[in-house]
Amino acid sequence: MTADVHALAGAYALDALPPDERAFFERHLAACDACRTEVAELVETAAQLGAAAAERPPDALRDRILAAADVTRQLPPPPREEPAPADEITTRRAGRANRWLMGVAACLAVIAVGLGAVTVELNRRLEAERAADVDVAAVLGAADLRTVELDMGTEAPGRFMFSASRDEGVLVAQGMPDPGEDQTLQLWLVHDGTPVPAGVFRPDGRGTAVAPVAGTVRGAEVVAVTLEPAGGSPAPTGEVLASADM
Amino acid sequence: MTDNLPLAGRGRLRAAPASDAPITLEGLLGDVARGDQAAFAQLYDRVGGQVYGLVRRVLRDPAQSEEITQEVLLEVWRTASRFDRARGSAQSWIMTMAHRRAVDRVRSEQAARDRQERVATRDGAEAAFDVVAEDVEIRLERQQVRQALGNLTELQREAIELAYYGGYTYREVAELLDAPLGTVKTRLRDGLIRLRDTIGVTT
Repeated sequence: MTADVHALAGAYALDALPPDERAFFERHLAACDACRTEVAELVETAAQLGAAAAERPPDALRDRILAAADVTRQLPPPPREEPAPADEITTRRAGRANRWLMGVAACLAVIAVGLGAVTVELNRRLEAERAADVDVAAVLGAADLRTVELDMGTEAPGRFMFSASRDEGVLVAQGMPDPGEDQTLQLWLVHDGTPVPAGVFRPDGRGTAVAPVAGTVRGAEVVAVTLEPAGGSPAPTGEVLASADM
Repeated sequence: MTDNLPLAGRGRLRAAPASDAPITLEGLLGDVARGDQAAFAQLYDRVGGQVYGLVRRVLRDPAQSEEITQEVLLEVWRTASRFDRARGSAQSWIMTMAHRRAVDRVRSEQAARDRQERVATRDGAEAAFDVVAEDVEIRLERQQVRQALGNLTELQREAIELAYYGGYTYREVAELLDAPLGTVKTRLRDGLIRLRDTIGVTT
């Protein structure tokens, strides 16, 4: 089993893993130093393959991109890494979350083997993950990982796992009903009493929902999920399904 | 605004002073993180062709490729402060972003359906492979990479080219090459390791 996991490093570095196996491998990466080193080197190698494909872009593209940058605000730098307080509660929480995640990873692997095919739902999930540009493995491996539980009306509570130092988090819930074509689930992070949109998401065919979020996690007081019209809303309009103090 | 940033202690992000010393991509990225638009223009001149070329290799469609290239470069501008040298080079940070976005576009719902049909049809599969292989051969300009690819076994090279330039998952690659899944998985890894050793990549 272990050898099998390591073998995915090449496909991972080439972005050639289907979403379920990618998520599985990223969880493994968080725990495997040897794989992290190998993946870093293989990603550099893949970048060389990419550079070799260089082609002269249309001249107008340069002007468009520079003009767009001119009107685009940049993200502030992340705070310097400081060792998280080795408070026992934090450690216990992280340990619990990790054990729970190992369970999820195992489930995903079973599903992957069982299905042997990429479902549209999983593809959507991957897109959401990448759209937010969240390094889920790094979030889950963060020294200051914290978890809050959200009662989503499902058998097991949803969990929002986040790292203030990385300013990133990920919501994972299982057993979620499908909101239907016209509606979507939307994540919110409340800052100074104002809900800030943190991405829309929907459960896959098995009711598993994964919603990564980057950039508005640090300093948030509350995380919440609402039901919104398809496409999401700039401010919550629908029923609050769940919320938790952070 | 940039004047107020504490520059002391951020040496690795500082560009070389005006001189003939070449500015590294990492140095440029540091300037970009501080809102330096001239540095961003320079960065574009260095990597814009690489990003566009790679995205176009995967997507084919020039209009979509321009769109994705713009998205990637804007993301570099927006998140330059989050670049972490400890986790890899600036070039690989940017190229990884470009490849992922291109692949995401390829694997969007409609495209995934089309590709499944293509993989299912034997003729279609062979045609797709020929186009990719030929295109890759013609366009590979970098001697070093071409030579390194030449050092691979046929299966390693085909699998890597289909996965990386074709944007296929390893399962699709196995289907296209009519090879067992486990073999393709292994060839992607040992082929890439061989490339790494030939090209002499360091992180």
